[in-house]
Amino acid sequence: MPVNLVSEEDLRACLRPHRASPDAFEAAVRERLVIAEQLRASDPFADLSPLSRAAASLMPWQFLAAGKLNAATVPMVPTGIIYKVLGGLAFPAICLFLFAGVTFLSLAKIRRVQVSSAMSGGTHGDLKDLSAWWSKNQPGVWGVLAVTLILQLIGAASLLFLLYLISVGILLRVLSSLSRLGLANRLIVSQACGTGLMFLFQAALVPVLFDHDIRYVDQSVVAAVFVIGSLLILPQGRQLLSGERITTTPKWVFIALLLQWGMVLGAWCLDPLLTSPWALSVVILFELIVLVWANLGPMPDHPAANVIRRGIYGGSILFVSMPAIVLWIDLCLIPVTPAQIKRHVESFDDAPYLSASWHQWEVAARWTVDNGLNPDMSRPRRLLAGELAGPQDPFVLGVAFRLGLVQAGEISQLKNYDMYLRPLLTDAGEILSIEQMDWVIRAAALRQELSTANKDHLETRLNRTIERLSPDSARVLSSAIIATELLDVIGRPVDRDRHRSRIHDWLREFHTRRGVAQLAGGFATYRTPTHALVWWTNDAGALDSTSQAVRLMEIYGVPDGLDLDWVRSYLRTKAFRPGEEKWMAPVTLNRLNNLPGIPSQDWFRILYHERGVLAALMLVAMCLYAVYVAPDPRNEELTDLRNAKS
Amino acid sequence: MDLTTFIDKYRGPLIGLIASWGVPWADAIEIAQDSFSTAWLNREACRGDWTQPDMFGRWLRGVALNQYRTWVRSRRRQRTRFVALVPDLHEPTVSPPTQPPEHLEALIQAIERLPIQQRQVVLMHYLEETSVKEVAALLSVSAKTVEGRLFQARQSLRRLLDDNHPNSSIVRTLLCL
Repeated sequence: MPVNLVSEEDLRACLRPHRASPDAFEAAVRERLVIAEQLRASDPFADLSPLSRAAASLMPWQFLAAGKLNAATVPMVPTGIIYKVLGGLAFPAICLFLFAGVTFLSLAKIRRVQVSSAMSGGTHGDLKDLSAWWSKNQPGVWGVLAVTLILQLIGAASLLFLLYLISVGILLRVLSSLSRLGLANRLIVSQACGTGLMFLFQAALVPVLFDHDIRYVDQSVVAAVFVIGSLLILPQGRQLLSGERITTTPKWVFIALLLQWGMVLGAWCLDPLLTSPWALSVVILFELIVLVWANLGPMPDHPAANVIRRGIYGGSILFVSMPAIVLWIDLCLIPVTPAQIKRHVESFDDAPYLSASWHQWEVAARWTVDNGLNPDMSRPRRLLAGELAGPQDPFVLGVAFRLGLVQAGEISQLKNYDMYLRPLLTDAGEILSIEQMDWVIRAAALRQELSTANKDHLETRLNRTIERLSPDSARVLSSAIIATELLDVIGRPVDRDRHRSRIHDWLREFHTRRGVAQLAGGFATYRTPTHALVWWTNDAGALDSTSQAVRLMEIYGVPDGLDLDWVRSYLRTKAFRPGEEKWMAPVTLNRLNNLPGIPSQDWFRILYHERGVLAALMLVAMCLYAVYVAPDPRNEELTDLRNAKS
Repeated sequence: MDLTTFIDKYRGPLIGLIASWGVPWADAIEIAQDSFSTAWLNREACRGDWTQPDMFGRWLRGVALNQYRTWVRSRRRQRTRFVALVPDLHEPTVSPPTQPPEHLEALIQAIERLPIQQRQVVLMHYLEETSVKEVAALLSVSAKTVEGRLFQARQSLRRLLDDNHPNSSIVRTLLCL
C-alpha cells in the first residue's frame, strides 16, 4: 500500500523565507562575543545574578579565580537589600568551606614557592589578597565557627545543619555561576568542599551538652557521614586528566590509612564487642612512631623545611587517624546479638563493684532466662559460692534467688535467714527495705516453709508496701517491681487494677525528657528536687531504673501520656556505653519493643527525628554534586600545577 | 573546530528548534545568535570535550533552552508593563518578503499543528536542509529516531492537509483513475 506523504520540496519551499543569512548571522554572533568579552574584562561578575553578586562580594574570589583577578579589577556593584540578606546567608558556608580551602591551598602555595625558592610576583599578590580578605572577614569567620560549635554543643545540630543546607545551597549556586565564568574549577571546589566537610566532621564529634530531642541512632553516624563524604570528595581533586595525581600528598599517607583501617577491621573481626582496647592502642602507637619519624628523620636543606614538614605530617596524621577512629566508633553501633548477650551472661565470674555489679548483670541475665536461651550459669554460681562463704550481701542474694542460682539445699548456709524471716511473718504494716528482704521471702517460698496464713500475711504486707511507697522515698520503681514479683512468688498474683494508677503516676513522674551532658528519655532513680539549685544533676535517667520501669510496664501496661519513643531514644545503640550498660540497654530495648499492645514505630517520625543525619547526607550529596558539575581546570592551569609539582 | 564551523553546522537546526518552541522567527534568530555567543564564551564550563561536535551540540541546546526561558520571562514582564502602550512588542519584525502560495500557507499552518517532537524535526531539518545527523546531535537522539519522526511528521502533515481540504483526496483519486 503506497504511503501518502507531503513532498519534501513543499516543506523546503514553505520554510525557505525564514532562513537567516549565514554571513549576517555569524557577524551578529561575533559582535555579541566582542561586546561580552569587553564587558567581562571590565566586570567579570557582570553575568551573575544579583544574588550571586551579593554572595560573591563576600567570597575570597581571588582564591577562586586562581590569580586571574585582583581586587582592583572587580567592582562590586550594590544590590538590593533582599539579595544582600540572601547572599549573606551564604557566609557561613563561605567561611566553612572556602576559608578552609583558602588556608589549605595557601599553605600549599607557600610550600611550593619556598621549596622552589622562586617567589613570583603573582603568587605574592594572591597571598596578599588572601591576607586582606582574612583581615576584613576575620570576626565573621570566627563568629561562624563559634556558632557552629555552640549549636552542636547545645544539641541544636538540626538547626545547625539546616542553616548550612541553605548556606551551601546558595554557595553552590554562586560556585556554579563562577564555574561558568571560568573562575572556579573542580580542583578548587573539591578541596573547598572536602575541607569544609572535615570541619563539620570535627564539629559533629563535639559532645552534646543539652540533648532535648528523640534520637533513634547514635549521632556519631553524622560524623561518619561527613568524614566519608570528605574522603569521597578530596581525591576528586587529585584525579584529573587520566587519573594523574597533581598534588604532592605522599603515598605513605594512603598506605597508612589502609593499614589503620585494616587493623581496626581486623580487631573487630577478632572481637566484635571490642572489649579490649589493644587495636586502638596499636593505632595510636603507629601514629606516634610516624610523628617521631617525621620530626627526627632526614630533612631537605631548606630553612623552612622543618616547619613545613611538621605541618604537612601533622595534618596527614589527623587525616589518617580520624577516619579510623570514626570507623571504630561506628563498628560499635552494630547491634549485639542474643548469642553475644548469652555469652556475656555466662562469662560473669567477677563482681568488682560487689552488689552493683550483680544488679547490672541481672538485667541481661534475666532477659536470657526469660527468653529461654538457657545460659550456662556455672561461672556465676562459682562466684556466688564465694559470696555464700563470705559476707552474704543481701542484695547479691536477692539477685541470686531471682535468677534461680541458689538451690534449696544451699539455704542452710545462709546465716541470717531465720533471723530475718521471723519478723517478716509477725510484724504488721509495710515491709521496710524490701530490696534486702527479697531473698528471705524467696528462700522461704523455695523451701516451702510458708503456710497459707503466712502467705495471707505476706500478701497483705506486700500490697501495703506498694501502697505506702512514696515518690520521695528511695528507689521507688525498684521496690515496686520487687513487691509485685514477690506476690507472684508466694502464689498470690498481684491485683493489677488495684495498683495500676499509682504505678502509672510514678512512671510518668520519674520519666525524664532532658539531660545535661547525659541522655534524655530514661527513668530517674530519685525524684527530681524542683527547688534545688542543682536540679540538673539528678535529672537524668538511669539504665537500671529504666529497666525496672519497663518491667513494671510489662505488668501494669504503658501509662497514658508516656511517649515510648523517648525511652527508645534513651536505650538506642550507642558507640560508648561503659561496662554492663552495653548489655543492659539492648535487652531493655528489646523488652520495651515487645510490650503487649504498643503501636509500631512511625517511619515518618523516625525520619523527622533523624533530620540531623538526613541533613548531613544532603550536605554531602550537595558537595558531591558541586564537585561533579564543576568543570575541569583548563589545560594551562593543569600545566601550571604539574610544573609546580615537578 | 572553530566557531564558524559550529555556526555552519548548527545554525539552521538551532533556529528551527527555537522556532518549534513557539518563538517568532525573528526572535528565534536573535535567541540563536545569543546562544552561540554564550555557548562559545563559556565553552570551558561544558562537561565533556566541547571540541566534539556532538558534545558542543548538546551544550548549545542547553544554552539555547536557558536563553529561551530568559526570553519568555522578559516577554512576560514587558507584556504586563507595556500592555496598554504597545499591544505586542514581539510580533515578527522580519516578515517573509513575499506572500507564499496558498498551498504553502496551508502547509505552514499544518506544521504549527504538529505534535512538538514532529514539528521540531521538520523545522530543524528542512529550514536549511541540515543533515539528519546534526539534528540528531542537537536533540541528543539517534539519527534513526529523527528519520522516524520525519516520516511520521510528513504523514501527519498529509493527513492534516487532507482534513482541511476533504475534496482534494477525492479529486486526486479521480485524477488517478
